[in-house]
Amino acid sequence: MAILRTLGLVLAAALALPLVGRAQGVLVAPHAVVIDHRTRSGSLSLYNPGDQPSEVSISTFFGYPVTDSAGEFDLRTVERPEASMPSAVGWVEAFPKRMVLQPKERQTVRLLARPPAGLRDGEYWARLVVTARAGSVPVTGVDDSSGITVGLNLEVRTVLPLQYRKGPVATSVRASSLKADVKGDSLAVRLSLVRQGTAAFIGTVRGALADSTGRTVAAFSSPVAVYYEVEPRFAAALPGGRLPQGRYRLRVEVTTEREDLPPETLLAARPVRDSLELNLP
Amino acid sequence: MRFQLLVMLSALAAVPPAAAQLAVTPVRDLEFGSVIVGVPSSVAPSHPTRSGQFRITAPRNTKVQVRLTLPGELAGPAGAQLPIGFASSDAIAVGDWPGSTPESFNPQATRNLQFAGGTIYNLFLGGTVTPAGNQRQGNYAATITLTITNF
Repeated sequence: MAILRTLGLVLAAALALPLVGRAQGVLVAPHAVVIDHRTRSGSLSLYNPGDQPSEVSISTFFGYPVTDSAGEFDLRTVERPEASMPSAVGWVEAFPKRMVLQPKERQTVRLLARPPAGLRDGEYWARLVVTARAGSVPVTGVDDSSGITVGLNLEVRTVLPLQYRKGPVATSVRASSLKADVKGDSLAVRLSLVRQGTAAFIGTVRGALADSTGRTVAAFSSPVAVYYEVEPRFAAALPGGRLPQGRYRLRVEVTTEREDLPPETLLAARPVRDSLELNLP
Repeated sequence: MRFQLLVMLSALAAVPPAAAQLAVTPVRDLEFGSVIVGVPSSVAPSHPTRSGQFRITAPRNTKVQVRLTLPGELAGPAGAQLPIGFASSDAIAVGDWPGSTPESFNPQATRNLQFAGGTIYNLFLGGTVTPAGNQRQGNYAATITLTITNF
């Protein structure tokens, strides 16, 4: 009997954490929303591609992109935005706010803005959060004689930018403090970007490193969002993982082009360029 | 009435083409398989069949931040807990385009991904469960929250 008890303690338990199949994220489109004051409305399209119902809720908060000390983008959230902050939270609402999306079901969510009277011209920001979780939380797993079943439920939160524009708005960016160095097998580039104008600068930073003959030896392209100021870090892979010694020129261009966003949602601005010479011993 | 119809139609027309979508699709369970009660069991994120897998779809050149909020234990019957842990290298992200190299990262920290050469990133998750020798029988559950932020 004691042997059987001992054996029972070491019986293999098949532990599968079914974090998929049970819960399902939803497809969200578009992935950035712009609302004009003249229509005061927008929409989101949600689709449940899974085979389980998904509970979906929509909420808003105030936040904007910043960069950390390493130059990585992060989102700074502000629980109680000051009056001076251009927050649209509180007067942009989603209809419906909660829903259950059946498998393969599509739902259009209307976004309606009720801005306060006397709202000044400018751009106002919010973040939309689409939270999707399983309609039910069954806990199952591969069971055996251990009698233990386990399950992980997946909740997917998709956070999107929302920009509300009233009247004429303009944007541009000031670039400074361009730095570059070879780090390992990559060229690391830092650049300080400060937004000008009355709207967020949404665009792309492109960089190209040319050798003394003018031949491009490394390049990068990265989307940027400058709401106040950022100092992002970019990396470009070096051919063969290294650069021969010599003189190089790095050229950087900041434009309002974005491959992933519809052009009609972007505010145009004159491209900003900077360059520096890099001497590798 | 006509005005309302026009507003509704314009709202529907404003829905962008399929390319401008953001989606997370769970692909595969994080599966520990057979473990010995009382003995920790780990699955590496690189395991070809047992690591958890999510697929993130976004338009080309989108940059998103991935944040996983992970549990430290699974809650079971009568307050029993089953510890689960995630090491600093228990997550891997790799794009589905040629030349995309797998990036190992800490699933407890945020990670920025740029869809530089395609529209799909696969995210693999490993972990470790530590069932006690006298682990109470029953159902254990917890929630993982995956937050995708488009800047």
